Amino acid sequence: MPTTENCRFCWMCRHACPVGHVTHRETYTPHAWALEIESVRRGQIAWDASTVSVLYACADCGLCRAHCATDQPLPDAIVAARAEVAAAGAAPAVVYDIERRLRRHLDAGAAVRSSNASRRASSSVGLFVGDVSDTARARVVESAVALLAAAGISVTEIGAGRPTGRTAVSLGLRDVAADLARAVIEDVQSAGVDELIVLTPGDRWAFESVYADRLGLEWPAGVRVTEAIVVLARALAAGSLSFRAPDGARPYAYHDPCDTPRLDRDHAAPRALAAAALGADAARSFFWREHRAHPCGAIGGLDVTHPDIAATLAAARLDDARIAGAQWIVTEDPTCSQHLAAHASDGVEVHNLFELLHERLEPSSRRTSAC
Amino acid sequence: MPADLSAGVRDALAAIVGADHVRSEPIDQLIYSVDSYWLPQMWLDRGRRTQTPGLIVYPGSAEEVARVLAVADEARVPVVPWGGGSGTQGGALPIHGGLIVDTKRLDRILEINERSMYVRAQAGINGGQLEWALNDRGLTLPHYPASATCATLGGYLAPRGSGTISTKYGKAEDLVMNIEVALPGGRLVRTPLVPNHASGPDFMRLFLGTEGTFGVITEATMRITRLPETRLLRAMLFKDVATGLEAGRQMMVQRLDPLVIRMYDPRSTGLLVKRVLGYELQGAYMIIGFDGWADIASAQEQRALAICASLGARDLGREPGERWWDHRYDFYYPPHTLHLPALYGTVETVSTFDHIEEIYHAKKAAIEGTYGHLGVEYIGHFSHWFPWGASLYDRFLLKEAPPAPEDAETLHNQIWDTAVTTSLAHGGMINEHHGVGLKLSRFMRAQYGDAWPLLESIKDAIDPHHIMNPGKVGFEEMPS
Repeated sequence: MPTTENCRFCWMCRHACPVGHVTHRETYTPHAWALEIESVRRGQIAWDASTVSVLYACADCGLCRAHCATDQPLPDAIVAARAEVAAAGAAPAVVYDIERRLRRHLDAGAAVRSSNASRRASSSVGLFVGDVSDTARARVVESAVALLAAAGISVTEIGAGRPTGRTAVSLGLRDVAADLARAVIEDVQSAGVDELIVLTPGDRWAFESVYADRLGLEWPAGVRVTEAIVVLARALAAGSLSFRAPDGARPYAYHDPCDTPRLDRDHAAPRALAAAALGADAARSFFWREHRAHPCGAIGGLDVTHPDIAATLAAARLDDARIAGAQWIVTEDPTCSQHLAAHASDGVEVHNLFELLHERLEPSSRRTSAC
Repeated sequence: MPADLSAGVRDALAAIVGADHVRSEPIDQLIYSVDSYWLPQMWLDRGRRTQTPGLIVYPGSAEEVARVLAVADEARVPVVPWGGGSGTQGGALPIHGGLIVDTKRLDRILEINERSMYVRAQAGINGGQLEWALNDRGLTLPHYPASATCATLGGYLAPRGSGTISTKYGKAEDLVMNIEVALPGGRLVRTPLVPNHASGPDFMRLFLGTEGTFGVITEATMRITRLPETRLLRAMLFKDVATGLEAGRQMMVQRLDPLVIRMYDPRSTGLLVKRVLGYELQGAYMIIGFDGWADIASAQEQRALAICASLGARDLGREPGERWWDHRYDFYYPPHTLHLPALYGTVETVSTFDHIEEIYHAKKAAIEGTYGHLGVEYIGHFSHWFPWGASLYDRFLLKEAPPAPEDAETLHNQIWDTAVTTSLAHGGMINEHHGVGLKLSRFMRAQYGDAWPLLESIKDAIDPHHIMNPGKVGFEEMPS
């Protein structure tokens, strides 16, 4: 039975849906998206501006599936419906703007691709840096590379300038997403690495799941994907990384990056690093954390298709911080930290965890990056 | 007849809640035209449409709910309260159009009092989210219905719901201390926040079980408890329903205070227990559980095991009991749960120990005897126990509903008639915990007999224009 048939009259994951939670609308809940898709299939409604807008209100955060006892892949079904809508020319105009922008990326990236393809890695460990034209991400990459070097891990930077295709596939832009994914895979294969470190859970999810499940692409055999934050936490535990004694840190809460709940993840790793750099006493817990972490809105293209909902989700996370008694929100995902910072106000500051860790790295831990 | 909503009504509502919180897009109307009742789902599945609401309104406070009701009352527009939409009785269906009042913006926890052990929250809060918040403090609201993740607090109370551990902790109505209700004329009333009292009648209970036909619950205070030190689950296998029922009866009358006794009849054991838990067993599979302090729970369990052993039960051990606990809600997720294209209904009832076994056999005989030639099956389990009786959660099931939706509806309603009249004839109620809604509305006069006009007169006093959820819980439609 198709997923949407299973989910259309099932309400069981409602408690987990962040969009339903902040909008309070039954229409913006998982069962409603499934019912909408099935109702179009039965000819009871058609894709028009209103129904398409509803379809694009899902954040594709994966929480509904993560909380489903029978693992219904509803986010995949919603994304598949968007692909049909987009192919029919009925997606929101902003989706096609993004498609054109990504196509330009791909065209401009041809030179990068050939340059990357000819360069084999000097290390067996790669670091997927992604779209470093984004200045916030560039700073995060610099910090991550320095931290990894301090931990004794030499990395080859891979995928400079490449979006993973994760947002594109969420928006129903399957073809451009597949082209982006192929380019990333080609870069990884050319580099010849056997481990690829990623900066965010979203990148890990893209490589481990999206490419195979949504795009039918094979990830290079033998290349395992690891989150940088997990690698650094191991180094911290092993004593090969140390940070200055916390000074001046204010009460903080750790925001689990968007996509986190859909992964089997070491939730303790980022928290241990944050505690080492900012002080365990200063840590505060979000209500929406770990396996139930709600996204901040910087996910699945929601910030372009429904900026109002994305902003509301960011405001909700900022409220979480206030309720928890935190003055800082820290997170490693540069897209999350940027999105949250754009909405921050009233005494809550947003900091990227990699940058904070880099700033507080003990001088004795500092080494020159091998790359 | 669908209500006519003038632009003036919409403007008046928008002035109260804000224009963004009044919706009437066709997609919204579609989504709010179906709840967890089989009938509208079947119609939609067959490509038909069901009655949609004219407007959906999202009040942000109890005061706004009251003002919305005042506008509706003045304009004689029907109002259907909506929480999670997870009710199975059609109680949230806008059968006359009008207004849906979605309470989900009322989602704040107002107070968690760990000294007097209660939580006070707005009625639109999601049950799963409320429970997470309590669990974070080592507390729980011991109301664990299958709909815990989707229903709202108000939805727990409106139909007097039960959860899987009601045998120890009581139904939702036993856990509530006070409520605030918005009434059709625009008034807000609040009942006293005390453990109990004898200061006149307990009028809070007028609003429990009336499913939005008297007003909209906007806030409730619920009894909470600490998460238990231990929870002991175990499974037993009885040769038949009769011996299992006797074991449960003895546990209850000896006041062993079980957390749960859940006995599946042999057909449920062979069908659902096998499908969801993976055990192939013949007989009546029973879960028993005790919680609280480890030494006390263990002593209670030992006495229960002795009762089961004396009745020849096979002790299946802890693992099948704990597995049931861990997967107790899985039964309600698709594809495990009953779902279309099957035709099905949960015809649950309750009675005293004198009658409950007789009701089970009578309903099985009536449903399978009358409709067995069509392939209709009857299954059941006994899941909510009292020291005086038990509830029978029984269902009819036909793997494929008739292809024409009209035929499917007719057969569905005929089987319901058979099931309910059989329950009533043998000392049962038309319902134990799902409520009445639209589905059972037609049986309320038979249920209450000479007492029914009294309930009608109370309805007339509170909701003289019958705007509140008309056509539900047995109350007449709006006067034309």
